[in-house]
Amino acid sequence: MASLNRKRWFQIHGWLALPVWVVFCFVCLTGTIAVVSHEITWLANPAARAHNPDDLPRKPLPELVDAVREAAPQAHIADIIVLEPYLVTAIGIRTPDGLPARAYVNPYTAEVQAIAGGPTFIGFMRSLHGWLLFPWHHNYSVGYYLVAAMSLVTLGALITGVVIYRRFWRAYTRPQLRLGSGLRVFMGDLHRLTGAWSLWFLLIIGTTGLWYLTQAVLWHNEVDIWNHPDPVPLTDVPFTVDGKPAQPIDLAEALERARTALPSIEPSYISLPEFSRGHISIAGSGENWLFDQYAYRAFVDPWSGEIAQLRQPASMNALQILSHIADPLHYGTLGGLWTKLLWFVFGLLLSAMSVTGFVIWGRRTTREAGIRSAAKRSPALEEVRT
Amino acid sequence: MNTRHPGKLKYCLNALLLIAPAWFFYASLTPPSTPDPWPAQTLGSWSMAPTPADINPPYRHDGALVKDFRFHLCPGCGAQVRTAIARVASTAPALDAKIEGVIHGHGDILEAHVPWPEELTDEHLLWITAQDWSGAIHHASWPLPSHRD
Repeated sequence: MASLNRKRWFQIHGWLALPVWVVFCFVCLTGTIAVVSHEITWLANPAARAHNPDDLPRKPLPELVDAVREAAPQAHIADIIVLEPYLVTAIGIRTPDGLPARAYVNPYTAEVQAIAGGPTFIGFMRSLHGWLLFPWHHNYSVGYYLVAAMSLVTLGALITGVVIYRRFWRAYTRPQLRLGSGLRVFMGDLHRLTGAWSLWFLLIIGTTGLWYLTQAVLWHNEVDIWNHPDPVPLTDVPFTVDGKPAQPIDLAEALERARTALPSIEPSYISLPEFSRGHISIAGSGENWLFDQYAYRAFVDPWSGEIAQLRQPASMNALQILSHIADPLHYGTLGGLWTKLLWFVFGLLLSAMSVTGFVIWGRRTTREAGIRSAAKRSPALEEVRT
Repeated sequence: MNTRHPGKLKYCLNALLLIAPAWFFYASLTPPSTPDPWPAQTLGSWSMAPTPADINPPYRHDGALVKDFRFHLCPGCGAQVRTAIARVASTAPALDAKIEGVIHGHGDILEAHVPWPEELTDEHLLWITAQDWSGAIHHASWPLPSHRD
């Protein structure tokens, strides 16, 4: 009976993964590359590197913005993205003809190393992995649903795999990888070994993927996880006597206001108001390392300097917490470069598991078909088999 | 593929789905042409020309119909606008506390998610109400596509 149950679990394990194994492998591979897309950019694009041979401290962000204004006087500054210490700070601009572009600024020297428009490798990989480049229809993408649904495959394969691989913990104490016993045996050993060692990774990727699926449903149904601050009252936007544009507070003051309200904030994304009643949004990481680089956020009134809304982990509800811890866990950014490399290795293993799983099933099917064929020719063999 | 075991083939059919990202990548390299800008009009000391963001009909957002527009302003004019809203109405809308249809963006090409009526009538126009930094209010209007042909 136990044997029959195990066979059924094995079937479920196959039914979960086999019908989508190529797509699953593709999603895993693109995700694996996306994890290190910043580092690949560093390797491939010298203009993206933040050389700092003199070990200088980071320059204040307003100084980097001033450098861009000097290099591209006609451009309008839209946002600022602070990346890893070995990468440039990317300052989003709109060119005079309205096109979005990014200025790559060395955060240690304030040198504008390049100004480029169009998609980036980082953005491309995130889009390819996240929604397979399927178009967005305002609040949903079929591709996003498809990819997020792979979390069900991951978690299902994890649960059924643990059931059918009895005493899987022996893979930790007595790992077995038989090289000389044929391809099917080798693939079987490799599949079980990588599966056992990747259990924690499967659990993380599957659970965070399940969150992305939930998030897709929330987006589709226009359920807001956050309430955005009310716009600045029109009456608070000043007039000028000469009709020239009024001057909002400068970026340095806005940053100071945010730091006063959130002392541990390390700004990583700043967006400037798109209209006179909008806020300066300053998002960053903080003392809680489990949360992403947008978990601490201050919305600063550009005219009065007052804080319109603060966001930080201590005051988040469950959905808000999930939305800010999913990415560091899914992409392995929570511990910097080393955890990213660890995620990269296990991402490759997970990608390979879909291939080894298919090969095992294929070999098993071929073998069973061979036995059935032989049994037709020799009834005695069929008796032996049953 | 082993022809003796067509079952193997059926489990490879999902690979066909990967044609989709290749197709969408190709499509992104050749984006569809956008509608032509509507005639520019003067509001105070600046000019503005609306352009529908796409050829699609209005979409539903938060239960209401919305259509996206871009607004091409004269060079350097984006900064001259204290506030501006775009609405579909029969008369010029007044500036109010709402931000529906607020014109926003950076530079001189701005955009707005314009609230759209459930049923258009002949009286409906695309209206812009804009205010400059001295407080002067300006209006402009354009006939809607169905009434432009």
